[in-house]
Amino acid sequence: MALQYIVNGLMLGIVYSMIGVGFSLIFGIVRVLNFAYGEFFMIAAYAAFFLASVFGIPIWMVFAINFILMFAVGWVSERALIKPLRYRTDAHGEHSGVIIATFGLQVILQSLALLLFKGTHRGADNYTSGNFMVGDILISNERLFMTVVSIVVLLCILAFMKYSKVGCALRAVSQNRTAAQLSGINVNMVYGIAFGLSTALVAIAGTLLLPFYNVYPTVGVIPMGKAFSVTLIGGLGNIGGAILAGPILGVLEALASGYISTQTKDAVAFACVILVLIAFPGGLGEMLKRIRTEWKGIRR
Amino acid sequence: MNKTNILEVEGLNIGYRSLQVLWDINIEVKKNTIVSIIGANGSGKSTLVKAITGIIPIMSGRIKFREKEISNLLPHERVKERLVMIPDERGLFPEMTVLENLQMGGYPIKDKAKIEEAIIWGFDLFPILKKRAHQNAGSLSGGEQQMLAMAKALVAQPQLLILDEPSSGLAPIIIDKMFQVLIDIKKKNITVLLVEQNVRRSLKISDYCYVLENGRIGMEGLSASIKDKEEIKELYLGM
Repeated sequence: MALQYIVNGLMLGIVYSMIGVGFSLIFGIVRVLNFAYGEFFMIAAYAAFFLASVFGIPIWMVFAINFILMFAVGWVSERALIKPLRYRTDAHGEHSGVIIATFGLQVILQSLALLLFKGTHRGADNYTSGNFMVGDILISNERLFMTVVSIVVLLCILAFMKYSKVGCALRAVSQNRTAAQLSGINVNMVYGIAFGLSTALVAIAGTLLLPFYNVYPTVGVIPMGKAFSVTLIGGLGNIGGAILAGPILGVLEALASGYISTQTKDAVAFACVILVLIAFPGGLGEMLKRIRTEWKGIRR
Repeated sequence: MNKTNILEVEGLNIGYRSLQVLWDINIEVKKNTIVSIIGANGSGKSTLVKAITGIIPIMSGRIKFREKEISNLLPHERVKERLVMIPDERGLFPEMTVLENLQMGGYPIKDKAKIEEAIIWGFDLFPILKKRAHQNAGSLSGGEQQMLAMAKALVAQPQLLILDEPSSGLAPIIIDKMFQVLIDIKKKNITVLLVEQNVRRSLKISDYCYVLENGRIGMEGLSASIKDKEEIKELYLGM
């Protein structure tokens, strides 16, 4: 039975990785905690609900539309909300205005959703159905589908960050902002792209998880909790760490709900976050980096 | 604007919020020369060059580069105009390899062949970088990092290269190497604006010199003549 929980947890955990990577991307590059992140998930889930269930648009097109649409939403939010506040600091020289602005955006989006769609829980049919056995383990096609989509999206993001010119610019800004400017990189453009990409990632997750969680105005708190857990375990702004932390969180949750009860899974997840932060204040990503450097040292 | 000047700074006032640090700065840099800015700690040297590259805003004044007003351009737009600076913290990306850093140096350059050519030139100037090509920049020694910073800046095909304290924290043998490279660069028609605390060396290498004192230009002149001024001998050269 334990193996079954672990496999289920791993499969869902990859989706958490994707949510975490999007959240980390904004923090790593723009240095902003985006409290409206979960609400972008909610918007994407509503969009998916109407596109797929109401208008009957094929599912692959729903993903494509949501990716592009939410990239634009993220970009516009950054331009309209973050950019004007970026150079304003409070009495202590902190950018508290930006964080409060994202918090405000969260409240506005939630209220708008409540106004437009009421509090009804809207669900969608599973994107695929059926399941199959591998040995003693039951694998549902639906979960497999979520896992495969997430892995493909994550691989695309990693390749984009590593090999494309814009991806290199994103990494450059996250490592040394001034040096990036002095290398001829348009930092404002990079911020917009990072926000758009992050929003597009959580939109894919919102579309994938629609049959799982349903959609309602406050559904955003679920992905928000996952995003916080994953980025704290993985290390704030650390993309590799976030990818690693997703499956860890997924497995812990699955074990907790399997052996204790479903209600305890979030408590277990946050307890795990606290333990990791006590042991590795920089998160797992920081630890991985240290191991890698030392390993290189030994080889040389 | 005088045609032989690559950079002209007129009546520049700079400050952080209400605290003004530089007053009425006027500087001219002639093409294909090395111009140095010297001054004591806290005299505003770094602030001045950061303002010229647009990293910090100016209060008033004009900056003209290659006969074009650039005061309103963003830093990355000034880099596209071929105004390149190596900041005092070297301006590297610690988690990218040496090669990736060099490629990032060529970010504004469209012509890939030119980037390749410049990277090879960088490896010729500093052979150690070729050996370290696939190592992260953050793992290099201070000297190697400064060499990488120099090579990276050259990939951006500068017309004017600004260096902020290139010798700080380096061993004398590496400082010699860096200054030798500056002379090589000048031969390739790249103008150099050098900010240094190492007054003796910068007076020796430069053609013209500005002395910043308490946020104003206290003195200027040909480096050879500045060297002999009693005040400079006493204050900066310890003679």
